Amino acid sequence: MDETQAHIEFLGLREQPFAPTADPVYFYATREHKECLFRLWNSIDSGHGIAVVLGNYGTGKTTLLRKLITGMAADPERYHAAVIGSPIPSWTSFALLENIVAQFGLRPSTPSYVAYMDALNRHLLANRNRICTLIIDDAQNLNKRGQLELLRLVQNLETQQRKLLNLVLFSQLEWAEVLRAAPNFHQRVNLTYTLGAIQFEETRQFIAFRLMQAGAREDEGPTFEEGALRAIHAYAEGIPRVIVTLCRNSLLVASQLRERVITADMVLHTIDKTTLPDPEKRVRVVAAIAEHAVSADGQRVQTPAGEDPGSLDARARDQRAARILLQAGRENQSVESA
Amino acid sequence: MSAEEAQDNAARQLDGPVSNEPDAIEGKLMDRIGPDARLDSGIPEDQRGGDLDFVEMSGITLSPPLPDPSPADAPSPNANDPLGFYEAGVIDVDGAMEAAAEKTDLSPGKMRSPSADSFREIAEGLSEQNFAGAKTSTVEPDGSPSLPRTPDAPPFPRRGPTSATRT
Repeated sequence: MDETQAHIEFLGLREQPFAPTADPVYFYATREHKECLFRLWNSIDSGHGIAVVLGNYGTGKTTLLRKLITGMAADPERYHAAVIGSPIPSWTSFALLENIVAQFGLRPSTPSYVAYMDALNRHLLANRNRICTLIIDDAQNLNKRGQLELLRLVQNLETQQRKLLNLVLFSQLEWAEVLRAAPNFHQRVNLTYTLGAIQFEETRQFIAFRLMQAGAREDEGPTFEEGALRAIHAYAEGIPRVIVTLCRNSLLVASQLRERVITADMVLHTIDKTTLPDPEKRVRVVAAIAEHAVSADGQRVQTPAGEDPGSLDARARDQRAARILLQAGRENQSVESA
Repeated sequence: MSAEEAQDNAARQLDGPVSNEPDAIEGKLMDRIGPDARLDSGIPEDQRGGDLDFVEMSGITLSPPLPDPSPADAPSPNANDPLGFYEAGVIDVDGAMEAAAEKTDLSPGKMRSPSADSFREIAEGLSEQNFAGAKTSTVEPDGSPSLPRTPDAPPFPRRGPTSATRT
């Protein structure tokens, strides 16, 4: 057994719960992600044309995209999808068309615009009893007028009631400016949904869900202390990818220390050792932990959700973490003032 | 914003929320979304694919080609059931050309172009006849007078079903 797997098994897990991949198995439906999916499916099923999902990097767009594709793949008689994962900014409109056609599995023998459009249109007509959808990730790379014009043209084929090709475009927020600059395309967008950061309670559930999916059992799996959760959420500012990275590195520390409880000081140590130095953010993290852990006179002010209030061990751990963290906060402040 | 504008806005409550209704609608909407596995966390066990499925899903690698021949890539369109505007147009144009070709028999095997030598020989023959006088007058089967020619001269190439009357 290799060392990585040994760490995972020590923690009582079957696999890495915080892998740096957009695996739909680990898709967690926050309120926002669920609403986004609901609206996307409605737009797709109705053949309403173009849907855009905007979100800052790390907000879970690609995982959501793959959740969508998995849903389509489960019903191939009803859905037919092609995916372009990473369009290249320098693509001409014809290169984009070539990729669209290729991802639908078509290989026209004549390399011409008319032949490719005709091949695509025939394919869509031949599959008109299915819901055909082209999904593009990293759509912010498509910022040329010709590329948007091509996208507009490929979904022009329609019946009386619906488009024969849906487009679902996932993009970073800055693409909004490109859309505004191309009103003839923008006007045809049926849905624009913007994903944001997740809330603290969702961070807690997000982490718990991933542990469960990776095989954690209540009596054996790793546990994140309340202070650790608050530290992670404060550092990540609710961005799922940052949460995942920090959890992954914190788990490594825990397993190296032969601990199954991830404490706030472990998280702080991980932040110090694995991220870019950011004293301001570190102080915010420490403050978030301390605010939860103790009041001014050292008494707990909040019981972590899901934790036994009578658990002396848990309380002792939190207080220990708070002491360390308050000390760390004071050190930070003295360094800054010096 | 000037102090006066701020005061005016405050008086008219322009900076306050117009309505709290959108939040209430969102709450109701979420509550009324029915059970749907497509919206839930994770994916059902039976939808989990292998490593290659996962890679293919990324859209970074090229999709495998459809089984050949695909209906979309058919080499010749069906004239009775054109699929697209372009195809219909091509069928019309091709059809018109075929009809014209039938009338004029433009097929390659039946096309002959007169060579320069043929013209030269004919011209020489005509000159000889003009100066030496016509020895015989032959008549074509349709009754029109034919070109007098020397025994060695090749036949003048003809095009079309009717023969021209030459003097």
